[in-house]
Amino acid sequence: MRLEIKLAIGFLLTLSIFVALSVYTYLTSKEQIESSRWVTHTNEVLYSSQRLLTVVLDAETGYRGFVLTGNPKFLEPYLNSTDSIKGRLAELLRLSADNSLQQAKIKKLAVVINEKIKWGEQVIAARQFSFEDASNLVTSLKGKKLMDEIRGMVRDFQTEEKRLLVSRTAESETQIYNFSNVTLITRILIVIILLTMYWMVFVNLNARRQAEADLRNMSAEIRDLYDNAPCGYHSVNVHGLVVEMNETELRWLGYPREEVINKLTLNDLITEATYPVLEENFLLLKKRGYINNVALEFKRKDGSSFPSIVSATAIVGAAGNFLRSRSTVFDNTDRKEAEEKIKESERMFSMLFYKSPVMKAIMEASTGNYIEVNDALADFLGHTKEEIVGKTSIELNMHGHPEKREQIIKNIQKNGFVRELEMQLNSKDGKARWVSTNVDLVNLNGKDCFLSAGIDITARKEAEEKISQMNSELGKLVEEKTQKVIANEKRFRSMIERNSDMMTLATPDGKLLYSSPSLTSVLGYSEEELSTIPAFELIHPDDVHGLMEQMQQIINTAGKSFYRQHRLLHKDGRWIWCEGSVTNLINDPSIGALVSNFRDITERKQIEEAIKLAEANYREIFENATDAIYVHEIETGKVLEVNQRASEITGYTKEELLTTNPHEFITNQPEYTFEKAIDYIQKAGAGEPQLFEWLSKKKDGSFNWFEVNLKRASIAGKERILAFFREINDRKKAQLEIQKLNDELEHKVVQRTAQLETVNKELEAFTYSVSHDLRAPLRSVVGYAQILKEDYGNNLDKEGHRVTQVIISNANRMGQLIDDLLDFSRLGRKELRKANLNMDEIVHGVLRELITPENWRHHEVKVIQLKPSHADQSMLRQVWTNLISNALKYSGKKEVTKIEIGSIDENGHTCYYISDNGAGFDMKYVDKLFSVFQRLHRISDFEGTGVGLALVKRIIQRHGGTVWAEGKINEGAKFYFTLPHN
Amino acid sequence: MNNTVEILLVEDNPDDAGMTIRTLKKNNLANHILHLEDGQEALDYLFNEENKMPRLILLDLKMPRVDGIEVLRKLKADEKKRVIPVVVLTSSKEERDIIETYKLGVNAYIVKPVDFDQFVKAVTQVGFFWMVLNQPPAEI
Repeated sequence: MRLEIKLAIGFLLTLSIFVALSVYTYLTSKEQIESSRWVTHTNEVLYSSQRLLTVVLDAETGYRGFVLTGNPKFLEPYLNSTDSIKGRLAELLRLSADNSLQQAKIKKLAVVINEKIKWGEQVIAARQFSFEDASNLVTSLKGKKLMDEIRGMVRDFQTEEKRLLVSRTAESETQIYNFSNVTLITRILIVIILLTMYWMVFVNLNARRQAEADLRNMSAEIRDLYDNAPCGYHSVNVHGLVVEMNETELRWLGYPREEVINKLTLNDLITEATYPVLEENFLLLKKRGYINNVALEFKRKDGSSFPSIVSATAIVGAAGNFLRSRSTVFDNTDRKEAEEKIKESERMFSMLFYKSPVMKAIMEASTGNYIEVNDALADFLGHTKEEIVGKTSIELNMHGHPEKREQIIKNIQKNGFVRELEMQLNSKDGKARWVSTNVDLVNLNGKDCFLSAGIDITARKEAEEKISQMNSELGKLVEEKTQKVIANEKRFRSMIERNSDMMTLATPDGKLLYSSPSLTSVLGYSEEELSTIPAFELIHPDDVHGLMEQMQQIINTAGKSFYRQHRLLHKDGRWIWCEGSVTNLINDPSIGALVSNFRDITERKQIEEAIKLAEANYREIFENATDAIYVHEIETGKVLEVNQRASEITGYTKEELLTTNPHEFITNQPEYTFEKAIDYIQKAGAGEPQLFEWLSKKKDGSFNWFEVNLKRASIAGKERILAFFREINDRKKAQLEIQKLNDELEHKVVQRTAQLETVNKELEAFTYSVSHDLRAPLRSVVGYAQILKEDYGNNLDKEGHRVTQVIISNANRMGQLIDDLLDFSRLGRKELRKANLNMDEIVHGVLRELITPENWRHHEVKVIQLKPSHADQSMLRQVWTNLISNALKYSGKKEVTKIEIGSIDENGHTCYYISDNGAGFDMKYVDKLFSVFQRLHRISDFEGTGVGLALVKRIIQRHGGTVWAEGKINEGAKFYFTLPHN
Repeated sequence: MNNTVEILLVEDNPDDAGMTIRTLKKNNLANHILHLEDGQEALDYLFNEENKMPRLILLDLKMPRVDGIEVLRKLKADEKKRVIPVVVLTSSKEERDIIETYKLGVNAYIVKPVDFDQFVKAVTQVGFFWMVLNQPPAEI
């Protein structure tokens, strides 16, 4: 932010603070005035109230006096007072108009005062009558009370007023305190702002002063630089008037400052000779804005002159107009002299160079550009100097052998010179000319250059050239020819020698003119040996005849060849199979022999032999297989090939098998039709091997059973069906027999089953009949015996009763027997329906049935948790019923019937047991225990039919289990049975 | 309605019949019991003009000429006669007999116990039930 703005802000800030302060002061003063007014007012009120009181007191005093003395003189102040009381009251009221509370008090006070006054009047009036009256009144103290009241009220009023006074005073003080604080703060603030502003200005001023000083210093330096520079500086205005010049130039010119500045023009300071230069350049300066290195000759005061180099730039105004120049002047005197000297020597040198009869040139070593050429060279080349200078000899197409140039240049640079270098140069007209040159590497003006001097030796060269040309051409031709021949020879030699085939050149009578190296590697003979051995001796005797024959065929026809295989003798005695050709090239001038080309086919022969052998083997296997083998075409089923066995089996010859209509072989039994055959073939063709039985017809018309195996195979590169036929006549016969037997058996079984069923039915009927027909009379027997007992019992004696009872019990027994027998027999026919059984439930059910409240004796029945079983429920129930009822029955004679039932899980089966503490049995007769009708106790001891245990045994056995028992006479019996786990 | 015959006993075995009648009489279950010896006689008796409607028919199954099943069938097929309670009293325990009689609408099927005491008990119970406890329709 600029200083001005900062200052402005500071100033405005101060100003605003002032203004604020003023306003604040004004407001505070007003308040103060108000406060003091209130204080005054309060004092006034206090005073007024006090005055009122005084007056009242005065009145009091007055009337008191009167009361005491009766002197009317005392009434005066009293009367006066009462008047002034009114006035005072009114004044107070007015004064307390601002405070309604206080005013109310005054009003009250007024009332009391009036009362006092009235009282006073009363007393006075009383006094006027008598002292005693008044004194009585006074003694009543009413006056005093009233007075006290008044005093009290006034006091009260005053207290309030004083309180107000205090508070207002305090308020006023607070105000003043605040005011002084605020003003203090703002004053400090203003001071700070002012100080800040001052500081900013101060800093700024300092900075400026410093800048000024620096500027002054710099200015002096610049002035010094300008004035005392090693070159001259001046400025001229648009008219050429020198408006500024430095000391150096003034010194050079020999003028004092006053005489030049704004006095002389530049023209005045230069020699006449350089006027035009100045004029021209000045114009240029004005136009362009700068001039560089203009050579002007300055004229000194004393008339002498010196050369100078002047450069200038222009100062232009806003409109682009030239204002003045900034010019530098360099004293050129020394350089000029030097230049002159150089010029002189240059001239001399130039003369020597250009006019020499020897052809001379100067070239830049780095680029090859011609810097200078002399007249002689230029004439020689037919170019003008200008055409040559700046270009290289390459560009000018000078060199007859440009490729040599590099080497020449290198040589020169290495050695620094070259002498009598013969070069061919082309002149402009294209003519080739020869020169002999001396070249030196020199350093001219800091540059490496070639200095060449040469003489024309064209004519000599031309002659030399011609001769050499002719010679080389000749030589070339010869060379070419030779090379060609050699190359060809090489090529063919290479072909022949590298070839693994054996190549020979032989005379018709068998002499080997040439044999390729391969002969050595294949047959083992060296080349020398080969050339001495007659060729025919190397051929296997068996093959010689064939060879001769073939030879005869070609010997008379040029170019004809034959092809054969024969064995050749290896040096170590082995015969090597070879294959190749012999060509008649006897008449060919370049060959003049029989050319043979053979290769070693030993390996191939071996492979062929092996294949033949394998082939023979396979064919052997094929022909003599135990199965007949057919090869069928896939699409049509046509027989393409058969083996010997096929022919043997069918009775047809091989040819007949291939050519006979296939329908001839078909029996046309259902399942074995032509269509079915094709179907099989097609399925096999699809890639599914087929195995099936087939009925086929032989040549003699008889039928043959085959087991056929069809497979798809690749035969001789083509996809075919390979069929294997195995004769299975015997097997088939056996099969059919078995089938027949099975059928018969089946039939028999059905019959037998039917028979059995019939038998079963009959048995069922029998059982029914027995059960019904046998029981009925039994009932009658029992019944009528019973009736006898009941109705005619009186007529019977003891014996009679006994007899009747015998009848009854026997009849009952018979009935029981019949039932048991029926059960027993029914069991045999019944089907086992096995299920998972809860043995506990069954046993408990049976126990409930058998041990009823009616037949309860002292029973101790322990059932240890029984393992479940997998068996027929009703049958098992029967088992438990029989066993438990037995246990109960045979323990019936004991005091306490103890029965224990339990089960043991054993390997693969569960063993159940029931033990009792009954009569037991003699183990001697244990085998009879489970037989039908066998009993080990008398009926008189324990009744029973002897079927129960037999039934148990039968049931358990049907379940695949076993039963057995242990017993001891009179100690009890234990019965076991096992049931297998399912 | 002619109710002279209270119980019609159709039983071919005279001994069994004797026992049954004795039992019923002894228990005062009926005054007049008619005993017929085969199915034909029963049908003749029941289906004559006189419109016999006994209170209870005790029917044996295995009888010559016409067997119990046939009698039952004829009885239950007849509009009037089918209200007469028929109790089959037979020695047959065969399931097929039971099923068939029930299918024909027999009122009860009792297997004659082999034991005499049981037999007496059964007859008594049946008699008591049908003659005393059971409420017959007015026709009977």
